[in-house]
Amino acid sequence: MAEVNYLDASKLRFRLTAGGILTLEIEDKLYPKVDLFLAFPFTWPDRYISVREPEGDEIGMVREISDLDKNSQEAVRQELQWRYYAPKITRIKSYKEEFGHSYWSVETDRGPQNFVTGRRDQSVRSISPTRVLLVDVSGNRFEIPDVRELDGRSRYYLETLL
Amino acid sequence: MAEIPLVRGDLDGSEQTLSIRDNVLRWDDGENVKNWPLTEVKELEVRHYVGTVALSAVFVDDTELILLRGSLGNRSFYQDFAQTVNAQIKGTEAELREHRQDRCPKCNRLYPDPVRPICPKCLDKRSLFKRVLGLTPPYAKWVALMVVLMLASSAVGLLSPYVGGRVFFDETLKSGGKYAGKLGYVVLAMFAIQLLTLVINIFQGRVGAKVAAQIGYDLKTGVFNAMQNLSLRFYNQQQTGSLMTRVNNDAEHLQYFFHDGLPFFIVNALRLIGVIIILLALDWQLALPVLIPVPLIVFITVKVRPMLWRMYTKRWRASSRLNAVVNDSLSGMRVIKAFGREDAEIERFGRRNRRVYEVFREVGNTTSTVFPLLSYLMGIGALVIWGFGGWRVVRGDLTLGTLMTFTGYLGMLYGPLDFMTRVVEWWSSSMNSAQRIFEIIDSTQVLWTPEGDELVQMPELKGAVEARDVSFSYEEGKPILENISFKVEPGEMIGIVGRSGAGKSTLINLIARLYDPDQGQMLIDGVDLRYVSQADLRKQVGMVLQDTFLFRGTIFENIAYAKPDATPEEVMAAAKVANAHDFIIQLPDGYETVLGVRDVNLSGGERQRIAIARAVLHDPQILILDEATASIDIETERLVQEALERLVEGRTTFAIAHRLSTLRKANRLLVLDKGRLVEEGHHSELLQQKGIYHKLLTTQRKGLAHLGIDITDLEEVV
Repeated sequence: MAEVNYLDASKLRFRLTAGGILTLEIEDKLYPKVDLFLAFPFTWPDRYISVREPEGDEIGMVREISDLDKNSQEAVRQELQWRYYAPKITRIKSYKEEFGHSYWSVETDRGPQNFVTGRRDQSVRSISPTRVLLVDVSGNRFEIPDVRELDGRSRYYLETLL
Repeated sequence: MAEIPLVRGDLDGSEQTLSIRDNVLRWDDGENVKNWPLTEVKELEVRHYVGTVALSAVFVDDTELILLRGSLGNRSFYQDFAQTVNAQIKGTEAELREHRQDRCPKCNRLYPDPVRPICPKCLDKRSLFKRVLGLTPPYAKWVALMVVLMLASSAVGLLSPYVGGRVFFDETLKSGGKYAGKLGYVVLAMFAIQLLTLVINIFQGRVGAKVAAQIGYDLKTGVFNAMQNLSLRFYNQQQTGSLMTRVNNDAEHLQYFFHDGLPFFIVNALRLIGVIIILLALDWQLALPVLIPVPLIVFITVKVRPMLWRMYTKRWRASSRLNAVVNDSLSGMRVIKAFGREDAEIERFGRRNRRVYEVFREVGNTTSTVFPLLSYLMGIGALVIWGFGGWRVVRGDLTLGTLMTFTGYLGMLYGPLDFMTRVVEWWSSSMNSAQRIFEIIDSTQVLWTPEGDELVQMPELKGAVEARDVSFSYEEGKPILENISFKVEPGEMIGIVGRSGAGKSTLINLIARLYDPDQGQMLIDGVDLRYVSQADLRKQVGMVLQDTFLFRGTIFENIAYAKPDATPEEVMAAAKVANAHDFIIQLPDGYETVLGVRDVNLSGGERQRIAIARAVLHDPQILILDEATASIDIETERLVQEALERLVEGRTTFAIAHRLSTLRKANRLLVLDKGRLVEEGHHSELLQQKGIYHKLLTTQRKGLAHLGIDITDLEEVV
């Protein structure tokens, strides 16, 4: 098919099973297990969601989460949160560059975290001039939504990396 | 049976664990505990997300439950756990892999690289240094000479202020002095000292250059040799760029360690100690005030240096971003012009350029403040001497010569001081370079080689190939091939089909033993590939790959790559078979045309035919073909096709096939889908089955028809 198949949001029922599995019902058809993928995970975390079967075949795309009914919205947000898990850094407690790696100790919206990042070009990504994504050596992601909102100390640590 | 370590969920500070004992799966979050006998579980599944990984259980009633969610560092733990438990459910026993730690047991620091448990902090730097010194024995004589020269240089250096001060002013210029009236001799002596310093320095520099260059040469050779022996797997994990840095920069860095670093350190340390001792011995009352600003200077340099370093980093980064824009623009000029985006590019450049301007100003402002300030402080030391010393000279309890000697030594004090504040930094960066280099030299990621009797020589292959339950992954948790088994008779032609990413290229890499399977065996004539002598294997397994790689060199050399002693006639014969002879002969330089330089533009079809000629000359018993997907014109297509048909004749062939003609001609097709072998059989059989192969082919045909190419027509022409 050469066209993107946008799903009619009013016909979609997303639910999380008791086991935490996301299911989708479109009219009478039930998909017992679906995966969600964001087309623009940074710019539009709640738009353009590709809904796929576990084998990877696309069922279609949802234009906007807010078009869905309340319960579906909740289920979709929950699932996306796990898939694109990236704690938001609120403060950098300490940062140390040593032996060619960077050791971070940060405060995030999901509790304190310690992690190690490798080479700068692989670990620091500027999404916008003020928004930064850090990727540690295992691939875990940490987001700084707005560098300007950090305290001076944290900004000082970041300064040479940006 | 070995106990399986438990796995943890670690997101949002949660503390769930999952363990298994006596065929019962046990989940525990500190408050609640749940138990499931394995008879209720169908399988465990690892779910990979962008930022997390989850472990879920599928029960016999087909309900699924997510048991744990963890950060990505848990990937391999979950994978291992699931694999072992699944094997237990099926009643087979899986091999337990050694469990890795993610933290250094000594200092509890996270390992920078989760796959390699090396803690850079606890790595013994002293033993590293010993090993670096261990590189020197072949040049021990030279190193000894270097040290002697350094000592001489320090000694002579310390002599000159004394002669220039005390001896000159007190003993020569003063009437009644030891050398009064011998001005000429004293000046001559001073001249001699300077000449001696010059000669010693030249010698020392030359000896140092020799030792350093030699060590640099040996290191680079060592690293490059080690790299040639490493398994391809190593190259998948490393960035080519960072490897190039290792060969060049790190080796050079270490070279400077011997050339500049070590001698500087020794000379400066000796000077510093020497100067302080002499000053105190000459007149301790005068020496003490001179030494007072020393701690202040040390303090400032230590404080200011990180600041400057940060600025230099920023400057470097800004400059390299600017360069990137220029680079981008120049290499993409055609696209820029075609889309009329010149203005946007100018603006992009302007923004970065502005940043460079700002950073340069910042650096300029700081350096032009800090350095004058430092020399002012050092100047104060001199002022103290002029003032206090001058007063004492006037009073008559200090000679003018001693005063002059003091100022002379003062100049020698601050230079080494500056260097000494940098020693730690310099030392650790040198040792880091050393570590990175040794890491490659020591790397164990070479293909496993059998020893002694286990090695099987197979100078003559029949060409039977078998895969037994082969699994492979480049990255843990992302299997590329799973449980592949097949058997191929000598001389058979096998087509490998599948969507992109299905594992086709990986499979041929395993057949050629560029990698070893993680599980299962690849066999050739009934012998496990791992035991076959590499030399025999390489001689009898040939590859013609899609991205034809031609080395810098003549066409002749490129064709003769696998058989360097080939005669011109053999090479031409091979080219003829490959349908390459005719176009090569028409090039102005014929077979001596140099490839890899700008002027020669061979078309894709021509490059392919050179690669085919290379394979023809190589004459392997087992041939691996990766057909090009790029469409070439029908005449070239015919020539390439014809050449391939001749090449395939009488050899066991594995072809990653895209062309229908190849697919039809193959004795058998292996259809891969998501790493599994899903269908096997002849083209016509598989078409009748209407399975994945049928689907693949019809979509391909539709796609081509959409582009205006009718594949059935093309088929008839070919």
